[in-house]
Amino acid sequence: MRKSPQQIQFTKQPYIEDVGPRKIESIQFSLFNEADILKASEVEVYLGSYYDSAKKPIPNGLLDSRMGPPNKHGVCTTCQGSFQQCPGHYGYLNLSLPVYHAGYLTTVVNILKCICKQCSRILLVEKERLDMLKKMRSLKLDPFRKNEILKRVIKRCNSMVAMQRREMTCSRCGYINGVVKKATKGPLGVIYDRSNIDNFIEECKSAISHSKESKGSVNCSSLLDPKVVHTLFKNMLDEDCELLYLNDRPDKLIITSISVPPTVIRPSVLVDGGTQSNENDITERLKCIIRANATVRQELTETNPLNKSLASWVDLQTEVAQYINSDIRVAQSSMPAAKPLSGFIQRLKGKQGRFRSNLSGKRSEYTGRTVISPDPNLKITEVAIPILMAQILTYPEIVSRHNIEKLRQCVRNGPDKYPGAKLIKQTDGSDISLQYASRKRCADDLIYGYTVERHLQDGDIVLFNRQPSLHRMSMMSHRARIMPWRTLRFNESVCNPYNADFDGDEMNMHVPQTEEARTEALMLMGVQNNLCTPKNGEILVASTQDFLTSSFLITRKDTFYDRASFSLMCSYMGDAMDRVDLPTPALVKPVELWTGKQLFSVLIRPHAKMRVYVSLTVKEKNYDKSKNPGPETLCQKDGFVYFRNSELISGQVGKVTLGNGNKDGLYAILLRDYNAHAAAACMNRLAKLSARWIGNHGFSIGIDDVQPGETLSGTKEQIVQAGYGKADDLINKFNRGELQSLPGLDASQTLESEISNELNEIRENTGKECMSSLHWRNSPLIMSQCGSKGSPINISQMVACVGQQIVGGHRAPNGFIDRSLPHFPKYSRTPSWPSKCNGNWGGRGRLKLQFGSWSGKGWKGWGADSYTKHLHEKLRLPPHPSQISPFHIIKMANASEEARAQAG
Amino acid sequence: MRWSIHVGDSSFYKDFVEITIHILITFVFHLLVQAKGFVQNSFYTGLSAVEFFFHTMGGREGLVDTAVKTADTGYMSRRLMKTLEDLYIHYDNTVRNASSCIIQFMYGDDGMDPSQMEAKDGQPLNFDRLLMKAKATCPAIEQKSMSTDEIYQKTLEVLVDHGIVSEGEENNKVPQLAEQKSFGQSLLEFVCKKMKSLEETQKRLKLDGEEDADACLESDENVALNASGLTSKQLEVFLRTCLARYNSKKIESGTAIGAIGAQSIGEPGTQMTLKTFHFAGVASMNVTLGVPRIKEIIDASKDIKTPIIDAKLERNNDDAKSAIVVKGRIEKTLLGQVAKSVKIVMSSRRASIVVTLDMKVIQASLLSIDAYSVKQSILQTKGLKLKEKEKENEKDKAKGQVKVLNTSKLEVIPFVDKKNLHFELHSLKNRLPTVVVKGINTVERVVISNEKEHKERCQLFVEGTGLLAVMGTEGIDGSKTISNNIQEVYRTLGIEVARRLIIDEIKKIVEAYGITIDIRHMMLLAEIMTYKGEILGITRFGMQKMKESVLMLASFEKTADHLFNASVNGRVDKIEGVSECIIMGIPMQFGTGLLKVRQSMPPVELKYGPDPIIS
Repeated sequence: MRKSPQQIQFTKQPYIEDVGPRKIESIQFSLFNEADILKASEVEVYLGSYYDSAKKPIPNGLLDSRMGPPNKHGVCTTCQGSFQQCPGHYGYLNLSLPVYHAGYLTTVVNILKCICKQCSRILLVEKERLDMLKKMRSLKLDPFRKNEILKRVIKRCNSMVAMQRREMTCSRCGYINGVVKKATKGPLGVIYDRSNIDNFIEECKSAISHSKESKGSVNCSSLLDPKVVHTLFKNMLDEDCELLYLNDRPDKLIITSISVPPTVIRPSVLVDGGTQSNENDITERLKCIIRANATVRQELTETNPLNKSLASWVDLQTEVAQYINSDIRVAQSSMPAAKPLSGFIQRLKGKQGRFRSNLSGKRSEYTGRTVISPDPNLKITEVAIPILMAQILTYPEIVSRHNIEKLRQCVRNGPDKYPGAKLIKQTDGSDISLQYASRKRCADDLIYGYTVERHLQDGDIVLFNRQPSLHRMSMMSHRARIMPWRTLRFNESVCNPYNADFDGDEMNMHVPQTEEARTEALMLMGVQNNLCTPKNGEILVASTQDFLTSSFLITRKDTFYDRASFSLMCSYMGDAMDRVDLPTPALVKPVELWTGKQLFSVLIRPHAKMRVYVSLTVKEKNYDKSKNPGPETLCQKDGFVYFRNSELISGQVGKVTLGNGNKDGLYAILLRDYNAHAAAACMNRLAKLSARWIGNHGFSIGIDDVQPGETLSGTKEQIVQAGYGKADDLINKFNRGELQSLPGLDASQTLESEISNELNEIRENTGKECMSSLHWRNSPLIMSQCGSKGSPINISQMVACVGQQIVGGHRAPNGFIDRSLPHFPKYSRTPSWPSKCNGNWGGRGRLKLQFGSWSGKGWKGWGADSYTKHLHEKLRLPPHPSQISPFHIIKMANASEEARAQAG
Repeated sequence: MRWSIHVGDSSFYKDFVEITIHILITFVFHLLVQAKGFVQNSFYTGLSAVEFFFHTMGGREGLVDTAVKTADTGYMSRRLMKTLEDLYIHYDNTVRNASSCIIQFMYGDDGMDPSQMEAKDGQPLNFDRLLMKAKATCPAIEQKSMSTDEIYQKTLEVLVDHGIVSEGEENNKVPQLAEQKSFGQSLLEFVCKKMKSLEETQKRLKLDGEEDADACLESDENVALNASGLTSKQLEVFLRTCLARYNSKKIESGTAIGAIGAQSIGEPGTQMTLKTFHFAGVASMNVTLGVPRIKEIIDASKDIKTPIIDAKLERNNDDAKSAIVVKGRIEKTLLGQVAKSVKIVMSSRRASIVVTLDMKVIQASLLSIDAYSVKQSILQTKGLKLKEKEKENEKDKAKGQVKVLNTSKLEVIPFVDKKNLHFELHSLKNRLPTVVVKGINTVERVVISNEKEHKERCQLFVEGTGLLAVMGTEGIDGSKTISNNIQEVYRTLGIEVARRLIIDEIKKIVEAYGITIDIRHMMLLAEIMTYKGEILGITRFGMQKMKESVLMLASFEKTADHLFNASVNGRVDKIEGVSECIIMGIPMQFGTGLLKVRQSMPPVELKYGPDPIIS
């Protein structure tokens, strides 16, 4: 900020002590009064216009340039600062008559309730007053408790006044007080009701009771205007103020002059290339206030007594109230504006207000965001950043003896070639942008102590985050790896804490800018330190989906590999650069063969020098849980996983061993017994091995995986028919009234509950049949067994039977009157039909034709004459679909409607 | 029922009609189950139109649930964070808030870090696995396995040495809850259990050394002994590992466990649906579960949707019959349910209402009411203003008199003049059947069911409030009766019980969905709701009582009110908590902000470049 040229010349520079950097310790809130406002302002504002004809702001107008630059291009007159530099200077506006402050009105009313309206002393009796004062002054300074004491005082005073007669007299001056209330409808104000004095209102009512006018409410309430209240408050004692938990003099609660905020917080926007200007809402509100003020002043000086109404005072009050809080509703809504101009409070509150949107959370720099995609070849602690992003995001590195050559090269490359730099900051604070400067000379001129903002490079620490950030693992720090192409890539194992999938999700990236921030990010937020969740100590970063499937397939009992394949697979983990000690083959003669389980042992402990000894036992998902299991180690389905000293002795590994949500899986043991680095390294190796192995082995799903076999279809039919039969029985029993109710339910509820049970059993039994009839190579079955995706219920829904649909805990509700859909007749819980559903077209995508049915007798009932029998014989074969058109079918259904209508 | 078919004459049409009739007849689905949404087909065979529609309905409910749930859980999560954000572990191992009020004296009562707990139920160590690891890494070569006494003695020695167990503590037989067992005691218990199983194994293998102890054992017997036994070195390795690990799992000072706890409780909220489940075991009772119930608990709402009191009967009286008797004592019985008739009787002198009780019904339901008790109930009912005797003087406000005619008949005589008599009689006639004659009038319903563990014993589930009255009912064991309404338990039983109940209730909800949350987080939440001596909900009202900072309250809700009141009261905001530090741009006072690094900076001699002071 440049100082103005007339500066006082000292003969000797004044000594200013340097106390070092200071920190804000506390904030105290207080009130402004007129004198303070005047002291703080630069200019008095009383003209309600903005610009003159030459588009220059009018002096003493609302956009006076002494208050700051009026728009982006202006210059401040007081401090000669530009729009970015000038902090703004206040102005003031004197009101002709005082008004209430919209925010303090409740406080004002509370105070008025407690003081006498004539002598301004508190209404409590002396003894009570001293008592309350002592409590208020006590050293337990909890503000909440003080508020409670205040509320009690108010309630006491109010109740004294609300009761009749005697009590309301002020003990010190004898004035009789009335009830004070806030004006609810109409303009802002305080209602003072003195009608209960001396039967005053009764007399009045009886007086007019003879007249024919309405005997309606006779209101003898008056409004206390702000001037009166201001005088009352000025006369209050300090002791009373303390009792009422007021820190300052209460007369500051009434507005006598408005402090006009500087132009920088209400800038005007130039539109249409400099001709039109749109003013800020606050500026417009101030203009209305100035106008109303002028009207009031005019009325005050008006000589003609007939025209005095002071309605303009009410207007002024409304304007000032809406300036502060535009949500205050006033009576006159004759001009409902399209969008009411917002006041100060609207700027602060709500999700978009200052607090939540600009203070507690801010937009920040050095961030980026793109789509994510998977990459199993990256370590779990790494993230692949596109070169384009790395060239925009920079890290400020300080030049020192160790890195000066590298930074010189970066400076020579400039901002457009990677790896380069964008800016050089010199020690005195000035910047050199490398876009335009001569880069070679800058590189040669680099001195220790300069800061070079260089592009992101491999190994930099970045924070990686996905929204919604529900827990602290949604933002973790990764090491950067700069790669071509345009997406952010990371290892799939780390998907789970972010809850990310790769269907188009985007994620954010932040670059910490100081060395301390980088250290904190690395030590506290690194992926390796957040492998387990603090929620319950389970592992969160673990293998998912394909990795589990491939591990499951590798560790089957009948996978064998010869030397060539085994060595190839060992080289899959770790990029063929790590040392691997092959274990002794399981079969030696005639051919040397290793099993898949041995491959897994190599995965955990590749070479003998690595002293990682893992011992654990877990029961996998397909562990045999039948009645006589025998010893647990001899599980028939190979479901008991046993690692001993890093050798996999038995069991196929699946989700329980390698997945998340377990405390005794492989990674959890590695984490606890060794350290996080061991677990991370194991995850890396497994990811690489799985990606390559399953690519060669192939794993897919086809239509024959969900096709039910012959036996299954037959069994399913039987189960369904049996279940239907049972349901029929139940309904017949219910109709005959023989159904026994369950405890707490009546008959129809019992019926529903029993039928639901039957139907669920149908689905369960078909599901069990289906699971037992699947071939072991069935892909959904494999995925369900290892836990990578899907469960038995998904498989049985695909193959056997979908089951009962549940809405709100019950079966389909009767959305139409007495029936669920118009396809069915009313009350169609009762069967009228022996169900015969032969004709299994197998819909296969085509709509199965659906007809309504008639209630009443069965089809046998309407005349089993020879004609219909003949029809039935002839047409037992299902017709060719092409012979049926919807048109005819609808016609038949309509005919049935008519028929039903005829039958009644 | 007839229908007429208008078709053309050609045979093609005739065939066509026949075909369609066949379709009508044969392609009819079972009305009952299809009409209510049972889908018989699989996805492979394809769904019919109606089945597809029902499937859509079921799926739609799930989508709507998800959408509503996210907004609800998001708000709940935000409130939890705002309340718990400034709690952290101080260097004296207490948990305090921003103004240094103590919330917990030791985090989780044992000072352990929940993210490092290894065993299933939140215990620090999984002894089985550690023992297996010790035996695997330390093979039993050339050492004899120890006898059970030796094992026990050695364990006790080591533990006493390290101060985990005090000298006489192993004889401490005080029964304790699982989570209150100290680490040393659980270790001792594990070793004892292991010893017993070792003894069993050795007995079975006939290796107990009943034979000559010095005789040289056969080699495979040796192997069997070593495989099933425990050598001294193995035991030493095991104990050392246990102790070292235990000491390394203590929580670090400066950890912001308030924020961690809020996130751990708020994040699983998205996995819970909004629906209610049926009460386990009793088909007809619905108890709120899931997100609505957590909201009720956290808000400390005064009335909840399904208040249920779990009452147990006294030990010797817990068969079905006495259950019915006790049920009768608690359940609200109205006069209208036991009266045979409530009639207006008008004679020339006066008019009155006669109530006749149905003694058969009363005896069948084992209630003990008669006309005298009914009279007492009527007299005690508020709003009826009936008295026992005649109207005495002018000032008596009674509206009527109640007289007993015999054990099953009552008469109510109103004291009003002729003008209002008719109205009075009819209003009394309408109000008398709603008088509560037996039971507690805040109780809606009582359901009897069998206990979970001992099937022959009965227990009562009381829907409604009135815990004090239920506990005092004859036949109920008051010391085992608990409600699920937190405000009521606080009023009746006190703040400590309320704290325990909050923890148990949240645990129940979360477990019903298969989610595990470490109990330490729930304990912290319960502590902050109860540390001021009354139950404070996590809403803007509760927060005002808990916190002192103006900026934090203003950034939560009711911004304008807080700022205006603060300025009137002249409040001072010491920038101590998290929200204020963020607003002011200062680093927070815990975590890495707990300490500052002092560096001595020797003046830097810049050999190259111009001297920055002279420029």
